[in-house]
Amino acid sequence: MTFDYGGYAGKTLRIDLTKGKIIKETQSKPKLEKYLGGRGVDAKILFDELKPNINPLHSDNVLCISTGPITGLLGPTTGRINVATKSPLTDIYGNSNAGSDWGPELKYAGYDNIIIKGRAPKPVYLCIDDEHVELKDAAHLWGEGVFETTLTLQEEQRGYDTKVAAIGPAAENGVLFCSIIFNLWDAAGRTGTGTVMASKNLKAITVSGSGELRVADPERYLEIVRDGWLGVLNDPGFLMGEHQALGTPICVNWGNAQGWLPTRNFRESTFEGADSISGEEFRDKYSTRSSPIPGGRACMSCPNRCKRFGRIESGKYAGTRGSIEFEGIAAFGSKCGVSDLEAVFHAYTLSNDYGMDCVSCGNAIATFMELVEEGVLEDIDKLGLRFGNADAMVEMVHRIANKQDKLGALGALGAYKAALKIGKNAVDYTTSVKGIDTIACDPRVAKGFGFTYAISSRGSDHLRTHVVFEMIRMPPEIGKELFGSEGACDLMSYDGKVRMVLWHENLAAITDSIGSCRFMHASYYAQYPVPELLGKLRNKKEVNSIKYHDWISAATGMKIDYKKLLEIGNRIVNIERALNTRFGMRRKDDRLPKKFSKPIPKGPGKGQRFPKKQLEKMLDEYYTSREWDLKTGLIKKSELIKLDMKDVLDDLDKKKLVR
Amino acid sequence: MTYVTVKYLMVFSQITRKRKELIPISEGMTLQDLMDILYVKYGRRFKKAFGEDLGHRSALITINSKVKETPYILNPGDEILISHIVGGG
Ligand code: SF4
Repeated sequence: MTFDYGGYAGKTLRIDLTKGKIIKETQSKPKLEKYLGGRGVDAKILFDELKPNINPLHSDNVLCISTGPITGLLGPTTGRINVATKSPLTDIYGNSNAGSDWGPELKYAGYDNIIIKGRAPKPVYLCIDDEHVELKDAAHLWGEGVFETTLTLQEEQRGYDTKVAAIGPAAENGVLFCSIIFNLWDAAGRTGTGTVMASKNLKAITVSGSGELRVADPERYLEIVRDGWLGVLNDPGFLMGEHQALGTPICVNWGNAQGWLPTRNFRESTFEGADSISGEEFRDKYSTRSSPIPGGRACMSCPNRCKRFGRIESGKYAGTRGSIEFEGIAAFGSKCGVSDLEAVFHAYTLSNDYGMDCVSCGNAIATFMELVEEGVLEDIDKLGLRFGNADAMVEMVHRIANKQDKLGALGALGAYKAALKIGKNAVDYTTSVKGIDTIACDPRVAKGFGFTYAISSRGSDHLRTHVVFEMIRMPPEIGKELFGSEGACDLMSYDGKVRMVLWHENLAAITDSIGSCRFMHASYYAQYPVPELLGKLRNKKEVNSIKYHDWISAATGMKIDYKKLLEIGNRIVNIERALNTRFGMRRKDDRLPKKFSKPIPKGPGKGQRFPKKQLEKMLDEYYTSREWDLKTGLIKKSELIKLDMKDVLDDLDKKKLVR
Repeated sequence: MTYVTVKYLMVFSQITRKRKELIPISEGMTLQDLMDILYVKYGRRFKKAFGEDLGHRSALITINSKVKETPYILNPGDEILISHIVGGG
């Protein structure tokens, strides 16, 4: 039987690992209408089914993996997948997103999402082969790295046609920030979703699908998708080859030139060794013909091809091969003061194979380096843990993954929980918001990014908004038109940044819920109405753009216009806020670390800081727009009624968690 | 002979097949004069990569970390960075 709405596969897989039970459920139409899929639906499932006070590593924690309505279809980027759970790293809402073709495969097998509960009595993996779904013994895989696990499972099943989501040994060891890695290279990296999967004794999920997907209005769909493709292909950022040239590592030299490249655990924001760990260096030295995918790779249906691969041919780290991203380079490179790209690439590859989030791993090491230099932490294991020591950095990756010795065990907690354990004033050296460490952009320079870190639902994070708008010399007229201030286009200005963040946050929630990629609406700006505004400014007669509202409508048959689209985005932000409210998050938690109120000592960002007073002012504006209570940060009843979230309101009201 | 250092990022390093080079300058030479030399040296692809029709995403030239206009008179030792404007990581 086909599902009423097009785009969706129409079924949910519910797995109870304790009982070994597998149930196939028909998707809930009202839930999809309100939350679309992916991130939105996952957050609602957690709100409905997760006991807020449980330990994230308890068998009752819920692990959700979801696609969206356009996942696996034709269109500009349709390969992203969402993972959500209660995070063991932060003890609040945990969520991460990855690329690859695993999500589309799940839909071709007939399922939109998987909800996993319980704990298997012994290690298992979930095998999905169209309608045939079973739990299989994973004893032979337990303890194996992500690469070995993935390749073994592919060999045991349909070769490359089987897509694998796997965890590594670090997750099995209980490192709190482990990833789920999709098909060798793509990590749902942040907030420790892999650690939760390991706590359930679930080593991997394999998917092989041979089914079809249907769209509601095929003719209209093709028109919309064509418009979207042209929107991307004609975007000025795409035309100048932003990602095609070097992938995301393009940001190393650029971030350094703009003065936002975190250096030595954010002591500074320019790195003297940036060029030697840059995307250009990686391309010239390691993107050789013998690298795993020499030309780079894209997620499904993406023209952007932002994934870069390389191989080290000789020397100490000979044989290291894999992909590399900007965030990992910054985490193991500039943040640790390490300018040896081979060591950085090796640490990155190790981290992926162990199944750890490279950002949190690198940040933990960088924080320890600073704590040792400042005399707050003793280098008890005598590693020479100081900024710039590449050997110590690589050694720490092994130790953290294996929780080896004192520093390894501390690092496995992530920078923030480790600092709490160290005591003294160690927390002042962390860069964490809501328990998770900060990514690779200094918020003292990029003010919109900074504000995002403070309010993001999963803690310090840029991808909840990805306000690249402030970085790319957008014409000031567009900033004025969209966000009421030309300052929105100025990296170091605070003006217009709250409105800019809000718009991006709503749209990003949509992107993650439909299964598309952030880079299409916020990096390139191919998303309506930016191309239209740029076209008007340049007197262009013909303008193409991605129109999510039309795209979703043509795929599903729902009737969504631009206004309704933003309303759905707003609802998704609110359901996440509601979840975090239950986890105890309030206004006091929407903050920036102490470190960022100190001025940057040198470089283009010299003197820049993010004062607490400024943040409070922006929070007032943000809460007012979101209709959240100014004092507590709780959602107002009126907002939940307006957003048709009566069930959420009733629940929060009972617990006195609304205003 | 006096020189300036020209650094090429992103596609510019692909087109020129180098990441940086020293270019000799004479007294009074402007940034525009330097660009004319580079256009001739690296040809049509190099010039096209500046993307003058790309508006806000056209190339950015900084000298000693500051954006300069083309009449700027070069000084010995200046570091010129030729780059695009990117943001997605
Ligand atoms: S832009 Fe990069 S991350 Fe996004 S879909 Fe394309 S290849 Fe994947």
